[in-house]
Amino acid sequence: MLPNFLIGLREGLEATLVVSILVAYLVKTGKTTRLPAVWGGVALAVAISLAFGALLTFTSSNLSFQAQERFGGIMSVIAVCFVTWMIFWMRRAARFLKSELQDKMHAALMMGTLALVTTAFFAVAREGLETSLFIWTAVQATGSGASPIIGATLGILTALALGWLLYRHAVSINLAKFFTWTGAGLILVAAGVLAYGVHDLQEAGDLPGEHSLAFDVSSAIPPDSWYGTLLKGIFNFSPATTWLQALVWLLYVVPVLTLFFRPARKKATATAPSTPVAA
Amino acid sequence: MPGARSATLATVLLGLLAAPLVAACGGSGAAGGPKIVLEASDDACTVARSTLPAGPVTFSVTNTGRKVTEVYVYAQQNGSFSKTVGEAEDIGPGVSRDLSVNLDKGTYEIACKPGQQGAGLRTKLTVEAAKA
Repeated sequence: MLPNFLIGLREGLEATLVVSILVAYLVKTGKTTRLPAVWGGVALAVAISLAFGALLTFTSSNLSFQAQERFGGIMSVIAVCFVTWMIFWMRRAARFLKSELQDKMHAALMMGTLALVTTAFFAVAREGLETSLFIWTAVQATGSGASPIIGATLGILTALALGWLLYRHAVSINLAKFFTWTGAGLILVAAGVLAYGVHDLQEAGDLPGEHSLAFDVSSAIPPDSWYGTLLKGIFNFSPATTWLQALVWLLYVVPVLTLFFRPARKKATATAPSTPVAA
Repeated sequence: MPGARSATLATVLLGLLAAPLVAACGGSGAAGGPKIVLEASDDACTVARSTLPAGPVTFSVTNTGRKVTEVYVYAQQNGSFSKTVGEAEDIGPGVSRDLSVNLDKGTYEIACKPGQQGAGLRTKLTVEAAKA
C-alpha cells in the first residue's frame, strides 16, 4: 500500500502546490470573486484527464509511448509559461497593495482573470493524464485486492491536505513575506517542471541526450523513498538527471530568480519602515 | 459577457488537450497484435514469450513485487540496448498496466526496474519478420 500511496502523493502534490498558492493569493487580496475561475480550470482539467485516462485504460485505444511522453513534455512547457507569468503577475499586482493605488491593483487583477482559468487548468492537466492512468489502473486492480486503490486515494488526499495546510499558512503570513516566499518557491517548482518536460521530450526522442547523465544519486535518494517522493513531488527533482535537464534548469532559474529579486530589493527597502505596521 | 468568454476558453483548452491525443490514437493504432503476460517482481522480470512476429504487441504488465516498478522496451543503439521504444512508469505493487509497442524485426531487451532505478532486470526478446 505504501508505494501506491507515495505515487498518489507525488502526483497530487505537483498540481496542489500551484493551485493553493493561486487561491491564497486571491483570498489575501480580497479577490474571492475570482475563485470560481480557478476552480473552473481545475475541474475542467480533472474531468478531461479522467475521461482520457479511462478511455485509454478500459478500451482498446492506446497512446504510443512517444506520443504520451511528447504530450507530457509539451504540457509541462506550457504549464511553466503560465506559472512564470503568474509569478510576475502576482508581483506586479502586489506592488500596488500597500500604496493608495487600489485602482491600479484592480486593473492588474482584471487582466489576469481569463488567464487564471488557463493557469489553473495547465497546472492540473500537465500531470493529469499520467495521474488518471495511475488511478484507473489501480481501480482496475481492485480485482486482485483493494490495497492499490486505497493507497493511491490516500496519497492524493494527503497531497490535498498538504495543499490546504500551505494555503492556511500562506493566508496567515504577511503579504511581503507571502510574495517573496511563494514567488521564489514557485520559480523553483516551475524550473523543476521545465526539467521534467525536457526529460519527457528526451524520452520521446524529440530532444537528444536521454542517456547522458549529469549525475545519478539514485542510491542516495531512492525515487521510491518518502524523501525522494517529496523532492520529486515538489521540485520535480530527478535523482538521475541528464545534462540537458540540468542545463535547462539553470538557464531558467538564474535569470528568473534574478529578475524576481532585483526590483523586489528596491521595494523592500522602500517599504521596510512600514512592515511592522502591516504585520 | 464572462459566460460566453469562458465557454470559448473551455473549447480552446479542450481542443488543445484533445488534438495531440486524437492524432496519436489515430496514428499509431497499435491496437491488436498478441497480448503477452509480463510479470515484474522485485527480483525477476518474466516475459511469457521470447520470440514474437513483427508488428503491434501489448505487454500486460503486472507488478507482483513490493516496490514500485517500471518496464522499458529497449532497442539497440550504438552497440548497447539503450534506445527506448516503449515504457510504462509508476506501476505500483499489485497493479497491472498495458504497454503497447510496435516492434520491427530485430533484437530487443525488456527491462523491469523495481524501485525505479538502475539498468533493470533484463530479458532478451527476438522479433521475427511478420508472416505475410
